[in-house]
Amino acid sequence: MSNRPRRSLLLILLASFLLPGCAEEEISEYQVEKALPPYRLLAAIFPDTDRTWFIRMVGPRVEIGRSRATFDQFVESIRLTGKVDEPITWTRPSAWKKNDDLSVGGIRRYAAFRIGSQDDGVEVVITSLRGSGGSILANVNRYRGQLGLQPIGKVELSQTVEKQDVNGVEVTRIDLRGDKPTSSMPMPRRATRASSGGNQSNRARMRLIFDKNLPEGWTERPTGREFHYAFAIKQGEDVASFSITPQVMVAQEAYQIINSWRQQLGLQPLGNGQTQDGVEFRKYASRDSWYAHIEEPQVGDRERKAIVGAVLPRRGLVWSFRLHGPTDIVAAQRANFDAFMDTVRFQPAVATSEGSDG
Amino acid sequence: MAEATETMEKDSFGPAKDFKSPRTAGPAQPSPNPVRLFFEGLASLRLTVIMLFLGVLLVWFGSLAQVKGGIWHIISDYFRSFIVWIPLDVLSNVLPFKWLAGVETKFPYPGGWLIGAILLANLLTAHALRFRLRFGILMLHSGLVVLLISEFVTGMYAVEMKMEIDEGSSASFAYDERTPELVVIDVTDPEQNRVVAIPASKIYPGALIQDEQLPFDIQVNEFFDNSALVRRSVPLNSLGQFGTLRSYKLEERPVVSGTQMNDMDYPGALLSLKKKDSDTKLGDLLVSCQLGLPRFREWNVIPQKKTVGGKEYHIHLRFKRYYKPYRVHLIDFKFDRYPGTTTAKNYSSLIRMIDSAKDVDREVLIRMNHPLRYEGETFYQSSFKPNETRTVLAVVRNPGWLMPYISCTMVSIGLLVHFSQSLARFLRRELSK
Repeated sequence: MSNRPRRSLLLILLASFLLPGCAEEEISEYQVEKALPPYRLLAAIFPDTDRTWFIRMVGPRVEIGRSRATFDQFVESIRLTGKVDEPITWTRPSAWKKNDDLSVGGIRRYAAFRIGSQDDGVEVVITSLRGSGGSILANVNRYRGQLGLQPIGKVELSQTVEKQDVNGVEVTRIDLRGDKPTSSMPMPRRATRASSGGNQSNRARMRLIFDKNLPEGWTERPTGREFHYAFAIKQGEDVASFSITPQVMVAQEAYQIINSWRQQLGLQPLGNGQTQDGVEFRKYASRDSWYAHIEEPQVGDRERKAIVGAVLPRRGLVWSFRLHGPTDIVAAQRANFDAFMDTVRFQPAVATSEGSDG
Repeated sequence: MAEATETMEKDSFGPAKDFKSPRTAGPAQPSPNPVRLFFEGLASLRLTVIMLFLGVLLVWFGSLAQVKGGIWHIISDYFRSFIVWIPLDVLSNVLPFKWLAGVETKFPYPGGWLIGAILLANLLTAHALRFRLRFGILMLHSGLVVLLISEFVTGMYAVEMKMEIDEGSSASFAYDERTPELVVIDVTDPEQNRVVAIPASKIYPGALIQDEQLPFDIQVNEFFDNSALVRRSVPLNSLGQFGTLRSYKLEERPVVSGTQMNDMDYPGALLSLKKKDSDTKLGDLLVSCQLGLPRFREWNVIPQKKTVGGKEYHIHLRFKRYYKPYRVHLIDFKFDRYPGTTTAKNYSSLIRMIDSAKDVDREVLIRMNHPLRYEGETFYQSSFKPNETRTVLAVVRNPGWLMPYISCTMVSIGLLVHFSQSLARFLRRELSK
């Protein structure tokens, strides 16, 4: 190759790499499909003389969107009569089926209607509370919580609700969208309690499953607010307890639960990452988990207590499984504990309503 | 002299056969052509040394500037620019120049791209005018050219993005957390949003943004590279202000160094919307990338919206989004720990790559050091959110990612060939004695 074409080629090559540096970014326009939250809640709040009425429809966004016009017609048909025997009247849309199950999660509902099938339909619920039923802001924030949304303040309230005159009553209309699969379907109490740990939607999606064929001597006992499940374990005259508790906690801090067990038995807590005999790492429900067998040090003649437990972080919750009682029973029940833990698994919860219906 | 010339001709850096340097040219030569003189200067070894020295100084200035400035701002201002205005203040980090602290005077200095471009030109013209064509040297220098070009390609075209996905959800866009964009979104259509995106280069204090695609003009009153939203003790209730501005004010913050994992700048701006081609104000509002954070994410909480001509528009400053022709669905995120400890062992995301246009629907496990490459982009496991139900993937698009590998290979081959030839020549000489 002669030098002249070689030089030209190289200089063109050089210039071609410098030119793009002169380009400037411009204003652009494009279209994107809407990414709306999957759930929607429509509500109307009717103030009455001695109480407040709440009309609420919640469910998948698409279903609610389809029923929006009908819901509006229904709301506009509502009249507050002032009568004792029939304080409120309405015109029920023909497609709505009356739901006779009016008590859900301990909350008494005035009326309920189902749109669509039992399994995948949505429900319209009418409830009432005495007096004002709380401020509009409190009720809006209650609805927001049901959809996994954060509470708002007074300033934002005016931009979130609308006022509408319905047959002479100033009604507050609410339209919210959120990620949390709230439903007015009756929920098993325990799944409800599992979801009550916080307002994060992911936390609420898992449900604990285990083999209901309990080992011999194990009986389920009523739970208070403290536990999710509780069992009494009888062996002769001695009794141990087995409890399952979900806690809102980041997985990295789950080790603190084992420390709390240690402290219950009069032992010093362990530092983060510190290992000790009796604490090991196992897989439960296909997840990395902690397993601990801790015994109380002997102090005088007092009966020694022990704890066998497992700690399972799962989706924003940390589940603790604790077998607690006299050392002998705990040692004897350890195999049953292991067998029980092998049956533990989690599955997505269908719904997470917490009984604050209306 | 003859001996010296002979030595140079044998050396690869010696003059090409058709080119005589002024030093070797005889006195009878006609006056030199200025174009030729220019190219001779451009091809000179002296220029190479000067540029390399300026490059070393630039790295030094850049390192000093990084004490106060964010790493990405420094890379952009110092190394991916043609000219950089260096404040004398940066020298105050060096002991003898402490007295320069607070001095705002700046001096111009060649930026990384100018130095790189001159070095590239120097190398190319030297090959065109000076070097003899030898395979080893040609390969070695070609490798260097590829390396210089690869940095240029990376600087110009590489994008590092983040993609956040909740378990059970899908994502179809990634965002660049180092670049903001102002967007005006027409939300009238129930199915689609029409987005007008204004690049960061057009958002600066005093800028008036006018475009036929916009329903109004936008006056930028303030713009901060990093800012914080501070809740007002007494909310504003003026009709002239709307959205977040009523409840929050914007406070400037120093840009972060960028050396910590969660260090991030949250740009923010105070804007005035005006009727098109008019001074009539439609309202003031505050926009901030911080509104994209989970606690502010529900933009419908504090609507940043304005209705013009019967259409509702939402206005946001957000991290620049890149929409993808595919979806990434997160099946499961796992954070494995070493037994009995909280020490991280492995992070992994089991995803479904769904690209309907290409009939792709497959499961992939992305884990540490095992990225996914798809459609010219690389997906790395980058981070996760504290409740371990949301993964954060780094999505990197760099058309020049292979070039450094090619460059190193070429340079290695070039060096090997060149020194083998030199060794062979030396051995031949020794044996012939």
